Amino acid sequence: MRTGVQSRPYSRPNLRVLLALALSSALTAGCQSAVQLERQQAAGGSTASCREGGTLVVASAQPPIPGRVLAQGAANLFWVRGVFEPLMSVKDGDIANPVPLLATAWKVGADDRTATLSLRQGVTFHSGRPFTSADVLFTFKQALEPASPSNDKQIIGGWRLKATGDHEVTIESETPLSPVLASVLDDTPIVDSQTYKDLADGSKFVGTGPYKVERYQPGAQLVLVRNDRYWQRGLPHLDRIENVVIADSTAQLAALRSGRTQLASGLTTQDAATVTQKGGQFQLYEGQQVLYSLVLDTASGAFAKKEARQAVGYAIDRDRIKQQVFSGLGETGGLVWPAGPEYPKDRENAYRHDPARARELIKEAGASGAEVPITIINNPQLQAVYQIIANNLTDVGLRPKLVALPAPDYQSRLAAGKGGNYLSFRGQVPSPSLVAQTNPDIRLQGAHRTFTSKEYTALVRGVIEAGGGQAGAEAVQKLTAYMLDQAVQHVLATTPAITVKSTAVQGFSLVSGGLLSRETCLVR
Amino acid sequence: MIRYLVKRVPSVVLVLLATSVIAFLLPRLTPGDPAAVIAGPEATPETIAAVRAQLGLDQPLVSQYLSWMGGLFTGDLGRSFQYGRPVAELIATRVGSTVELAVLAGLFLAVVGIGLGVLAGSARSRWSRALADATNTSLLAAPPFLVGLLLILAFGVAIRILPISGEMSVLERPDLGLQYLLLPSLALALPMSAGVARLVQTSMLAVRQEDFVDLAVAKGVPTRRISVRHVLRNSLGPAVVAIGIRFGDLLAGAVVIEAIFARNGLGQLAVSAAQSADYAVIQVLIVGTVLIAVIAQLLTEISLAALDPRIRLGQ
Repeated sequence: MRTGVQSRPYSRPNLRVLLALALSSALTAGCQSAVQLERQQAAGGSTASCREGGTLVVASAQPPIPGRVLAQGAANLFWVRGVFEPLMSVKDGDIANPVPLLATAWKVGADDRTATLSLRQGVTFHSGRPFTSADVLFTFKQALEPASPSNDKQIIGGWRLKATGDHEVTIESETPLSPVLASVLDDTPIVDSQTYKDLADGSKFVGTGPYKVERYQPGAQLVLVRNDRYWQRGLPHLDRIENVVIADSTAQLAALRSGRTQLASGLTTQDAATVTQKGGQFQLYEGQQVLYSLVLDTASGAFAKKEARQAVGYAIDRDRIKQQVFSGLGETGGLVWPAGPEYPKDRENAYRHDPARARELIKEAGASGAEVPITIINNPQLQAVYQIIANNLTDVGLRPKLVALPAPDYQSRLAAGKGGNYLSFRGQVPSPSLVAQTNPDIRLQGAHRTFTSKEYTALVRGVIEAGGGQAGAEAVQKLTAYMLDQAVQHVLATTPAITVKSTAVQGFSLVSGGLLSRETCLVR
Repeated sequence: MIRYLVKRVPSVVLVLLATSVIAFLLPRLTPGDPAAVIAGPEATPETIAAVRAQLGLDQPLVSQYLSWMGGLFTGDLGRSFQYGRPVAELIATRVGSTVELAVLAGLFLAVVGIGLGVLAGSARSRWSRALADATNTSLLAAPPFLVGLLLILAFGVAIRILPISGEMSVLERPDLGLQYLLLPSLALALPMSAGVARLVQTSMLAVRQEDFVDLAVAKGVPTRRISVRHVLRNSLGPAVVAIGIRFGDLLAGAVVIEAIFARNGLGQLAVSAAQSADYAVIQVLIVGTVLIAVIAQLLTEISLAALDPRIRLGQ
């Protein structure tokens, strides 16, 4: 019978291993520790005052897209306002009191259709070229190009800009300016006419901002360094801002916990809560508001009838969505408008969770048992929202069906008006007139929804034409009443976009265009 | 060997040509429009159409394919839709990260896989064999992302001794670069090494039953020499084949590991390109991956011939 070969018992087998271990330990001790380096870079959880200098490392889930500096979005959130400055900036939605940047003063005419902007003198681009009114005209011309991603094309298209001096620009508009002027100027940072064509591929970044781009690795990182020739003395505070791309929410958490990053955007609400709920080193920053809506297809299917659409409003349990998906953050009033003087507060909560009423309406519309496909972009947060809606709709006698699509498909279908019933999420803008002209679920040109009617068109135009004040409030009231009655768009929740920041980061201000990093600093 | 390689050239060219057609068509057959991503979520159909024209996506497919192939022959891999940069440049800036990860992971794969296999395949005490088998089974059951998360928890959160996020080039700073590389490469290699170990173990146990081993024992050859010179060498063939095949898996696994450890390598580029329908990048990465697989296959066959004198290439 065969037996296996017996090996010798280990007599001195580990000597080499021990030597190797000792050698590697010695080598490691002699080398610099990467963990120590990260700890040195990460500031403590102090609330002390700002210090000059330092490096801020921020993580973004989406890669920087230099070709989209004239649009808003998560991709350029943390770097774009450091490099490219607008004429003015709107903080906390206060369009009546914008912060002057490249414009020092502005005057809106009595008819609210003309504005004169005085531009800051002595400002130079990073290339050393002086900033003049010609750059403003050039920038707004680029925003109107057919392939431009600017969200404000419809508004800018109705403007006539004239350079009335080297440092003065006049705007004439077909519609009232005061509800939109500050926001549109904020959304449109000034670009350099000589290098703009090289911006699309990120080969040249020339702006007037407090930081210059030192290094750009497409899809991976973008490093900003202080612009020593910035027009405002004493700013910026930081020496350097490193924008790194970390797509995965768990990896963003690891980067925060390890001290590699001090700021992160793109985490899910639940992940963010794991580092912010206990207090301590990290805080949740509630800046830009995001509007989550279910937009119904009125062209065909179960929701062609108004009663069936209204039933959806009563069927959805918005509070459950707020608690379970958004960890209790945000509002569920059900209106698309931003807070402000025109906000029709008495119209809030027109549809509250009432399954019995929803069942009645479904029966009345003859839609019982109808299949209801709902298109969403494939992301965990929207999947969670869908699950609750699906549960609610099933409960009232409909048969929801998930159509989860990747971004390229979702966006092209919606733009073509072929999204059917879809879940949308849109950044909130500061005035009803802006909502009516830029939000694709509401606006008239290039709308993503299928619904349209003469009455709706007239009411939306009414909001745009009315401007602000009492007339604006009345126009918003009328449009809101019509929208709620038609029940095409059900606002599910308005929640803050999730940004997690270390308590070591101060002077943190996120506007619709992104982080105003000129004021940002690290504490002592 | 040269004759062998020359004989393989036509089939390699055919494979790559077929791959180029598939790589070109496959992303375009999936629903979605890269122009819609570039135009943004709030774009109008007019803006999307303008972007499509700008990218040349309004041209017929055949013309787009011929233009891409023409570029490939002149060294121009195309231009990324999303970033506007040459694809070759995007790959060049990231390939180092992935190669560093794959090489160290490959090293761990070979060392741990063969080491564990030898340990389990060598006759020794029941306990040590059981321990080796248990380790092997545990690693087989653990996917790389799980091992990665466990390593992050263990060495990045509980005992913070190694960095768990980011990267640094080993060529620029070997001391720091290796620290950044250690956990991701272990996470990638350990689960795969179990498969290699199992092969080596089985193979070693089979070889030990061969007559030539008995002869060596009868002649009084020392046990270690029998294990290393006779049993191990004759057992490594399957392991080499497995490591060669696993090299492709290493690249695929890098996608997940790069995401978990926030490394910006080719895996993340591929994911980002797929998410934004950046066909220009996807098609090059597919062809490149197939090319690497073909080269790995050729190298495996050459290694096998070197290990086993019975195999003669080109005959």
